[in-house]
Amino acid sequence: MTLGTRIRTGLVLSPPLLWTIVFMFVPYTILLVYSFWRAQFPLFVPDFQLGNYRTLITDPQYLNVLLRTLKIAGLVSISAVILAYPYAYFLVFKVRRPGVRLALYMAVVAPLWVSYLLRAYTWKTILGTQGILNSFLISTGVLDEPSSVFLYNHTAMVLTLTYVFIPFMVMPIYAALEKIPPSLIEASRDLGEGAFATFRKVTLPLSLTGVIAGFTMTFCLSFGDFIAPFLVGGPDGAMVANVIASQFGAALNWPLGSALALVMLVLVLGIISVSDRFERLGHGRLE
Amino acid sequence: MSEIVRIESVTKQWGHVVGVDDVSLAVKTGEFVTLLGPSGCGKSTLLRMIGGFEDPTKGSIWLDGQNVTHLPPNRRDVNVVFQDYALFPHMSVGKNVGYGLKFTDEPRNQVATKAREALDLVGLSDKYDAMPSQLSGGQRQRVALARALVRRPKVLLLDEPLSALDANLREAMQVELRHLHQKVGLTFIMVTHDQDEALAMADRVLVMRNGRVVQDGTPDDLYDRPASAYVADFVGSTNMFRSAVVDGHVQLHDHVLELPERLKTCREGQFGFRPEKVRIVGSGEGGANRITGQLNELLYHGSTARLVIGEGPNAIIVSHMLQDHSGRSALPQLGEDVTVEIAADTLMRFEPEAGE
Repeated sequence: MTLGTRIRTGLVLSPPLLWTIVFMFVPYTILLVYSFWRAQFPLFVPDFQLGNYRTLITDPQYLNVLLRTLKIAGLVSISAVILAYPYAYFLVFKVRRPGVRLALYMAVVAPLWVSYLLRAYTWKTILGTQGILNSFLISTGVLDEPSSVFLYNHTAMVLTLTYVFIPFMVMPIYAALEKIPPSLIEASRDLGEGAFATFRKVTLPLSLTGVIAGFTMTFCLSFGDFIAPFLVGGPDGAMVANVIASQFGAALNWPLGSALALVMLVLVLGIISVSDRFERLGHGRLE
Repeated sequence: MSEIVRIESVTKQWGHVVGVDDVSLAVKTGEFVTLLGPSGCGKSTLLRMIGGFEDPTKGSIWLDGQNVTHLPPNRRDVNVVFQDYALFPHMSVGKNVGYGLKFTDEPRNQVATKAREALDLVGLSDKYDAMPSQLSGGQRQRVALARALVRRPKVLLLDEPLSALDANLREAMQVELRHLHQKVGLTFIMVTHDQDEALAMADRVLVMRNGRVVQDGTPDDLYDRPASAYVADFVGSTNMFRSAVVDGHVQLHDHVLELPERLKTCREGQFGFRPEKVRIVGSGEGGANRITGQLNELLYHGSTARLVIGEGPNAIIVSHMLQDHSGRSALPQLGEDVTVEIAADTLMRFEPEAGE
């Protein structure tokens, strides 16, 4: 490289590089450093010890929150895939008219342009005691008075998060299904397999990369979610993100919050790298 | 030979669009039949209806005496070689070939044996464990063939099987497909838009146009006795002209040509002759059916040369075979006068077609 091209390359690359350093690398480093400090109310004492991590492992409340978060994220991903796969399949293989297909696809994707907070809040108004669900059940005579069982529990969280993140499941599955050449499905039928066996042996394996991508995105987004537990989760609905927030806020234990944040980051990165490996395995097939 | 496929006045319509228009056809066991036509003529739709991928709007399709008109593809004893080969990308070559055998009553270990045999037949026995993405276009084509043949279908349907291959490979595969057809003794129905392919490979060619069969005959029928100006033009190329018939002679621009005995008594109409049937003779020599004109264009192809004699609408195209080692130097120069002979028996006459 000549000096001129070096300078030009440097000029082009420096803003994103600077951005990455200032807003990613530096904060994570601070987080890492903090996670080894000690909290001595109301101060944080610089140190290098693993006490915060030990607390996370030994104090069951943190493990519980972590397990609860994993459970919620898992349930959200599973219910999203159960809803999204048939929908995407229907769009790609059953809807003949491109206009109708686009409209139905946009119906799922368009809510992404609406504020996330608003979409989550919607469920509070649907499930609450003054909500649509209660008034419907009362007007149809199923209930005599408003029930509070719908809101502030895990089901409400799973419902809300599934609703909020389902576009991230539909999009990759749709893309994967659309990429399958119709002739492959015809070939399977031609070679003597019925519709279901064709789905099992051709369509499903070839769309698995989309499922993995969607599952990863939905899982990671739910895993780090802060709003849904806050709005519809109720007293024992706190997830990891809420606990981290409280450590940096009311609990005033930044070192412990940092350690928890790092544990969460490592978990998410682990999930992403595993799913990335699976996806790579599936790629190169449909070239 | 017995009849294996019978198509009875089959029509396929999508709304007002007619894909196939009242086609009837009978194919004998072991025949190699080609459906030839330009894109959109309905040949692929007809093939897809035989395969079970399209439902005919009208008419019926019979396979070995059984009415299969509305049976799904998996319940018909036919197999397709798809244009894009349609190999399953997530399965090895062996699994691809064995795919169709799973649900017949062959035991499992025999599935692999059969798949190997089929791959052997197309010369790919060493690729059993390879993935389709590791194969070349020609090899994929062979795997697709093996996969379709392994089931020993009553009829093998080939949808433009060679169109994705490059020119050299295509010629080699033409020979190979022909051999394979003789070796396995199955009935082949192939769709193509390539007239060379149709002439070279088939026992019988059906030329299609606008959803109808316009000629059904052997390759030499098609070439030497085209039923219409359309077929003459589509199968090979043809110098066309219109003329009245006077005393058994026709007029080609300002030249008078004698007609062969069989055409002497016909009325005026459209006449034509093949560029490759025209013979270049010594310049200035007189004689029957000889035309002299200026050479205006010359395309040298190595073994042949294409000459354009005369100008504009009066131009005659001549395809000249280069024999011996005379090569290019023996050809007339541009601008020279060239005399050619259009022998009377090479002249063809066509009935005017409806709508023309």
